[in-house]
Amino acid sequence: MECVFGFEGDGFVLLATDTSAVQSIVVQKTTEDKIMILDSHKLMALTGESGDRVQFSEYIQKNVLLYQFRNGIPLSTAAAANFTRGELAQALRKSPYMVNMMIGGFDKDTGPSLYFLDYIATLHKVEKGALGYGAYFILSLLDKYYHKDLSLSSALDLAYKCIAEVRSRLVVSPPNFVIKIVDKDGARELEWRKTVEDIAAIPAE
Amino acid sequence: MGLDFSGLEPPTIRASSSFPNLQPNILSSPSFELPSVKDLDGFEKAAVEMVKPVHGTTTLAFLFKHGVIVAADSRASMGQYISSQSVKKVLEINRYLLGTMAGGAADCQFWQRNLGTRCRLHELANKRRISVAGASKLLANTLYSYRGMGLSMGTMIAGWDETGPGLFYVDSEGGRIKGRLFSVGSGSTYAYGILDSGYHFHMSVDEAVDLGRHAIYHATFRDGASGGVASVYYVGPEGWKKIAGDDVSELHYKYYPVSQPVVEQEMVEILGYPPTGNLGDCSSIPIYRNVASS
Amino acid sequence: MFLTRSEYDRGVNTFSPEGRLFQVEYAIEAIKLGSTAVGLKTKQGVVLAVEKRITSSLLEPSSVEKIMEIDEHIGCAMSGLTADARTLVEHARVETQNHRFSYNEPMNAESTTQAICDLALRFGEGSDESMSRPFGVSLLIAGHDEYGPCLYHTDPSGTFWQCDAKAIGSGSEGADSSLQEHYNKEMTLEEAETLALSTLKQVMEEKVTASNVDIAKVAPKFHLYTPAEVEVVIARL
Repeated sequence: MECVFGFEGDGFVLLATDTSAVQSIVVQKTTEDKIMILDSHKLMALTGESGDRVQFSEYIQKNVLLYQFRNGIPLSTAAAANFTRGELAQALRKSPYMVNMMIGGFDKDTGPSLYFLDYIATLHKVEKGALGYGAYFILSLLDKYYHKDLSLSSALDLAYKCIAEVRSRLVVSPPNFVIKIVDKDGARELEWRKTVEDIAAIPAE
Repeated sequence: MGLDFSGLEPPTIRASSSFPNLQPNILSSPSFELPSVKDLDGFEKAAVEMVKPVHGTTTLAFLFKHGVIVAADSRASMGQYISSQSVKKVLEINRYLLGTMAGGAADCQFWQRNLGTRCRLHELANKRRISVAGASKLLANTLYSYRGMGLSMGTMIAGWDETGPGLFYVDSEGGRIKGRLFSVGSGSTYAYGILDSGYHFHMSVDEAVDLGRHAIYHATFRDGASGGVASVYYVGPEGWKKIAGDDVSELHYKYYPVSQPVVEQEMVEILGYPPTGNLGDCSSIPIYRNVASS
Repeated sequence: MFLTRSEYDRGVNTFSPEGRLFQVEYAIEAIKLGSTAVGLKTKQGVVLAVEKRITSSLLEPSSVEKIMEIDEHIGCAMSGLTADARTLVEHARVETQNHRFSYNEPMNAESTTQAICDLALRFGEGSDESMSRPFGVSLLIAGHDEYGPCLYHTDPSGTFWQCDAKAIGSGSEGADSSLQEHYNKEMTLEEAETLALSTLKQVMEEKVTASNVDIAKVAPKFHLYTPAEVEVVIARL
């Protein structure tokens, strides 16, 4: 079952997702990265049908980059989030994209920001949030343990706590997670939390 | 510019007494017989589902040290009926690319042939072969553009390009997943069991072919909708090669030779038989012995 | 030829009172400005050779592409507006691949040539999609199909001819008469390579080198010669 969460910290935004690709009862892949790096300072973590998820996120990514090439300046996180909402809202009455997402970014003047966006194009600016079945466990944890100005290490501890809770309480919980952050130095992958290794992975020599 | 609403009006038929014979044909709107069943919608839906072949299938592909193995069974079923035992479910897109077939047979065949065409045009335009990633993305984008229109495909695109071996899963929902081991179809769960337990990255080509064949055999054994022949392909730097096509029922006897059944009741020679005395000719009465104990 | 020049050369699809389409004739004239290309048919296969005008020493010779592959068994050499040729070649590539898709067999060379000529004639002042003027290019199409090796020549009017040997472009008159003199049907492929290149050499202003000519054969598969392979042919001259 899918699980996405994220929150703002002191000068950064942290996003985490499960990395399972599922088809009916079969886990097809346990290393599917569902957090797209939109541009140098933006992250987009998505849940939804795999076709819609990839097509929509790539479409948004290409448009965000096109804006940057045309105008010489990047979109702000707020502008990117509102643009994404607009595209989702337009598609909603034609052929909706079945995707929910959290968009995190870092801007020079406004610092870190986080947005929650669902498939019916509701956009919320939030400081913490979660999507999917994992949200039922994570939201309360975030309510209790989250506070503004989390340091990176305490933010990571909180992320581990969330992942551990989902793993132990959610039926058919996903085994592996990926954590990414975005801060003044850019968007990047931080860590993979794995309990299952891909059987066919190339073994380290 | 005015809007043309004429399409909304009922067709006006002028009554003409000069062609009385024509009228009944023109007046009645064209129609055809409907099947006489209670639940028409449900019947039609079920009929469409039934006619969609190769729903029951086992296909698999995996990467290993020396390349990619692609294997599949060969049974096509329409509902309960086995419509063919010799379907080619591994589709040869070109010398370096293979696709597998699960879901609608026609959808898979048509779109993978279409993919072959576009890969060749890419090759002519760019003077180099298309990558596996590129080919699978072409297919995924096409399928995505037809999403919700009834296509049914679950396919693996495997091959060898400038970066080495490649494997992607692509389906009619538009999904495309890069991976190192996949199985698709109703028998896939059984195949996964064999693959996951027997897989080693460093195995030889022969071992890998054997693993693929075993996985298909075990899937056909447990999944009624899979069967026929287990075909196995190997893709290496020189392109694909068909390695084997074994009848799974023959594989069964190869993997599990028939052992002597345990005799439940034995007839042993009764001492002093036949009794002396005149019973006529007793030589034709068989005397059984427990073969196992003798 | 153009003494009767009049307003009739304005529209691409307007006949003059003498029954001529001037724009098409002008397009054919444009070919005579193009670089020379020759093609020869032998029993073993077809040879194509083209002159590449390397106008500057700063130009990368391999980027001048005047022989293109249409399909495995069909190649073509061009003279005239090479940009127009690319449109025709792209069309032919799609046609040959669609043929393979529909019939699971290679398209034969004459059908391919016909398909190209169909497009060559599809110009006019009508819709936005179609070409507004004739294609200013001539092609030599070399093929190998169920009837064996073959060579076709097309021009902007959409006409095509089957030939044993043919030259097109600025040096075509001289080259054609030279081919008429030296060509015979019993030539080997190697002899044809040599004749193609020596014919080119006669009409070229510059010295023949591996970088200013391209050679290809269809025998029975298309193959564009590498500079080293061209060098071997040059050595035989």
